[in-house]
Parts: sequence; C-alpha cells; structure tokens
Amino acid sequence: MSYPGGGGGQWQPQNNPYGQQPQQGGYPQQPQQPQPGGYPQTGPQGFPQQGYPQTGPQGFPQQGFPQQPYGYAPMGGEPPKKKRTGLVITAVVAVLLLVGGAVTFFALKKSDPAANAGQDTPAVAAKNLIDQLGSGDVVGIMASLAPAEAALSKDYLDSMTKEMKRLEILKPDADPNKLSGVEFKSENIKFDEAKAEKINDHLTINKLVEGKITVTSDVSKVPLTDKLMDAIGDKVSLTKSETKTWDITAEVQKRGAPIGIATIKVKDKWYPSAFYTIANVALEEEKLKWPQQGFAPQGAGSAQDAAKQLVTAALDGDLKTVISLLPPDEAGVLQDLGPLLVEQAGKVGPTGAKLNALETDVKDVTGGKQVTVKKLSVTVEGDTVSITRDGDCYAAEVPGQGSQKLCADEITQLLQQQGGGKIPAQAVEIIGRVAASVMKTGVGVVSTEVGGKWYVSPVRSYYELALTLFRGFEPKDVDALIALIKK
Amino acid sequence: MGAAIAAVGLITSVTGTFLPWLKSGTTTRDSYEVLSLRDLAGLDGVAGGVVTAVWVGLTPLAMIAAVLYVVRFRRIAGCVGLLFGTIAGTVALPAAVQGDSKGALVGISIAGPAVTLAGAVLTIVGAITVLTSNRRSAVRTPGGNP
Repeated sequence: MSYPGGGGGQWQPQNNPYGQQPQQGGYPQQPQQPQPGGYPQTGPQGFPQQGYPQTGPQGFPQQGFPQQPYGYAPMGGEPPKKKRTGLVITAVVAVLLLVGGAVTFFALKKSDPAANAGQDTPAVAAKNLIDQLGSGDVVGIMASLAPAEAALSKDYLDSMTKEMKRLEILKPDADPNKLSGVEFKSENIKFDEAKAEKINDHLTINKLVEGKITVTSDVSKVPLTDKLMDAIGDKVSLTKSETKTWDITAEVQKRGAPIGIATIKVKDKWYPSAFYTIANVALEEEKLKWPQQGFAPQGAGSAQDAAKQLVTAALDGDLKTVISLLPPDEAGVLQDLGPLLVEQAGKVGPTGAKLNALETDVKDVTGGKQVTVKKLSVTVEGDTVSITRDGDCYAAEVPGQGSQKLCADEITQLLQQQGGGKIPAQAVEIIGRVAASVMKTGVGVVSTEVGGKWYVSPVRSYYELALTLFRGFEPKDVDALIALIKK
Repeated sequence: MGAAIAAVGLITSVTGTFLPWLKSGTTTRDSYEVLSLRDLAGLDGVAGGVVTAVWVGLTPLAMIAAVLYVVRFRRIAGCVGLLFGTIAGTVALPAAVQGDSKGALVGISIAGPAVTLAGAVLTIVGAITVLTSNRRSAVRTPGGNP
C-alpha cells in the first residue's frame, strides 16, 4: 500500500527493499542506496545524490524544499521538482476538517430540540400539525404541540401504559410510543390564511377549508392481551380494518364556516394547541366569542399555599381567583376564557363554609408536587368539622357525632356490614381495595411551578387520582370484568 | 488494507447516522432528528446533553481518526477508530436487532441502524488490522529507530 510523500515508496519499514532503517517520526526518505541495476539514485531534483546523506529535517515532511547536493549548484537542465508531501497532507487534513466540520454542524443543527420548538408563524404551525396528522406522524405531533400539552401527554402516557400492563390489559411488550392499529392519511389540506382570526397577541385561530383526512384502524394490531382480545372478539371485528374518511371540504360546506385550528405563541414561537382548538369548537357550538382580555395568572409562593388558596377561593365562590390559580401553561385556555366562564357561571356566592385549618403533606410526582390533606377543619353554619389523616387512617370530628375513625383495612369489612350481603363479594373486595388505595395515597391536588410561582393543575390532579384508582385494581379484577362481559 | 477498511467503515457509519432510524406514520427521522426529540423520550437535562454530545461527536471522532492516520500517528488513529466503532456499534446493534416495527405507527426503521452497524464493524476490523500491523512492524524492527 502506498502513502503520500516519500516518493511513493512502501510505507512499512520492514518492506524497505534497501534494508535501511526507517527515519525517526516515520517519515519517508529517498533511498540512498544505489538502485538495482547500478543506476545512480536520483533525488527529487533529478540530480544524483552523490552518496551524501539527506539533510532535510528529520521527522518532518519535507514541504517541497529541494535538497541541494553538497558542493554542487544546480546547473541548467530541468528546474528542480518540488516535493509535495507536506502540501498533500495539509490538503487532505484541510479537506477532512472541512467535511467533518460541515457534517458535524449539520448534525448539531438537526439534533437541536429547538428544531421542533414551534414555528415562526401561526399558519405554518397549523399546517405542520395537519401534515403530521395526515402522515400519521404521532411523534411529530407530540413534538410540535404546545410544550405544556406535549409534556402532559408524555408524562401520563407512560404511567397509564405501565398500569395497563400490570393489569394485563396490554401485552407486556406493548410500547406506548408505538401506536399500533391506526393509520392516518391526509389529502389536499388547505388553510385560508386571509381568514385567520387573531384573537390576541398569543392566540390565532387558523381556518381549515379544504382536504380529506382518512383514518384506518385495525383492532387486531392493538397490543391488547389475548384474554381481552378473546373477550371483545365477539363484539368487534378482529380481522377487518375499518377506514373512515373525514371530508373537510364537505364539512366546511355543511357548517357554512371553516374549521378552526388554534395556535398559541410560547416564547416567540407558534404551536398548535389541542386545548385551545377544543375550546374554540365549544365556543363555535355555543356561538360565543373569545374574550378580548383574559385573567392574569396569580401563582402562590409554594405548592401548599397554592392548594390552600384554591380551597379558600372555592369556598368563597371566587371563581376568578380559582381560574387565576391554574397553571398559565397547561390551563392558559381557561384563563383566556376566564371572563366568559365567570359570566356563563352567573353570580356565584360564597358557600358559607370557612376554612379554619388546612395542613398538608407534599410528595413529588411526575411534573409537580402532590399536596394531600393531612388535617382539614371547616366551619359550616357554625358547626366545625375536622378531618385528620394519620397514616392510612382518617379521623373525623363531627358535631353531635363525636370522633369517628376509619382505616384503609376496615373498608371491606364496613362495606360488607353496610351492604347487608346485597353487594357481590367480589365487588366488595374490589371496592374495598380501591378505596384503601386512595386512603393510603391520600386525596389531594397536584401543584406545578411556572415562572417561579406555584399553581394547581387540574389535569395532573385528575390523572394522579386516576392512577391512584388504577393502582387499587389487580389483574384478577380485570378477569372478573371480562367474565361479566362474556355473560 | 486495514486503513482502507477502516476508512470505508467510518464513512459508512457516519452515512448510516443520516439514514432513517425512526418511523412515525409515513415520516422517517434520522438519528440526529431522533435526538432532537430527546425531551419527549424523557432524556432531558444532563443525560440528554451527554447522549447528544457523544452521538454528534462521532463525526469529529471519525475525522480525528482519519487526520491522525494521514499525519502518521497510526496507532492512535487505530485506537480512535476502535472507540468510534464501539460507540456506533453499541448504539446501532440493539436498534438493528430489534428491527423494523411493522404494523406499528411509531417504531424503529432498520436502514439507519443496519448501515451504521455495518460501518462500525468495518471500522473495528480496520482499526484492529492497523493496530496489529503496526505492532508487527515494531516487532520486526528490534532496537527501534536510530
């Protein structure tokens, strides 16, 4: 194998046909021995070397400088040829650096999460969503949704899938990220940019006017466990896929108005928003308009304070404060709709109940902190009711009834007594277990931190409660449900 | 010969990282686009940064190996090539073994991992050849250089 420089000689020293020791640094050198056949060796200049040792710098490429034989000056004839070893190496290195640098820059740019972080205009953001929907690009949809909405989906998809696997509803190898059994296709999607409705500085409703979206579903590809597939086999077709086409053009003609796809601005970028789109549909159904000005978010200093302020505001019937205490990222839609919601709710007076004390326990959950009740004291019409939690036992102080205590392991027994044998034993066991799970975990809300302030997240609170309920179930409960379906 | 194999391996591997690694519906994404979605996969923060730095660093690593070889630091070049092949192969192997997720709306696309894995194997073979041939050379020239 030949290498650059060194006059094209073999690179490996052991291959040196002249038996010469390799030069230090491994750089090639012109052989000094006479050529076979008795011809005098010529240096790079084409002049005989006259047996003088080469005097170029050892260990460095010779950079094309001709070596002058001692005692001789170039005399006419061909001009000396420059040795190009160093030049070639430099060129190769430069090319490698350039190509490598360009590829790395390109790779860095592509791997930047900012590449998915919204679009410059509402129209592009909306169009991207529809394109991604049309190509079934679930990952793209998740990535391009408003950050808070995407985070919500991500946080609870994994948790719910884990519970579904534990309950043997989904197969053990089911992957929440591999949405099996459904395909999307879109055709000729068009937005009417001129009709886009700018509600405020961070909300634009884009108008979808033409196109078709086709959804093909195949239940047999959903990773349900075999026992569940057997159970629902009679109810649904497991062999045929179903295709439904949503003709947007026809729908727009039928409605007499385009379909609104809401986009919101978060940190100078525009994202499609599922929550705002749903809210817009609801407003259109009720023939209502978006309020020009929403409620400003009003966070608390801690997770506990946010929960306490929310309870106090709810008891006072202060709907505006309740809405203001919701996270501006996840529940911004409710704050934008706030004045309208308050107006639609009508006059809501105080409940008459007064919060005397609210002590809470706090634990970390996905995306925030769960605040559960430790002690609650409320006065209603002069009567004070107190509930205290101690481990998985709850003690209630009710005027006229004294102190009552209930622990998680007593629920089943209580149900059996109260039910009088009318409730099936299996149902008693399930209800008792689920209730016990809730009592052990505690009832509360999830607070999230946004911009250094704490807010109460209704969606996360709901999901945590749902997860708590799920955790109370066991696989045999699903078997019982399947048996019920089969009857 | 080893250098040529390693060179082909490096180029193949780097090319493989730009081929489809993930399919979502009819959309495919290369390994770098997949990395840009690391927040969705829960790889945010320091862990995500490290994973990205290592993977994006493969191209500079390949470049360093090639440059070292050209300027005749061959053993070091061989070691860097070995490191490159190990990283690329470690990531590509499980993805390639898992293979195409047929029927799933979201899943692994085989092209990227398979090509990257093939390149990684070639790089490792080439790097080992370079390292062992240099070692043989050293053995055959006892006493070292004058």
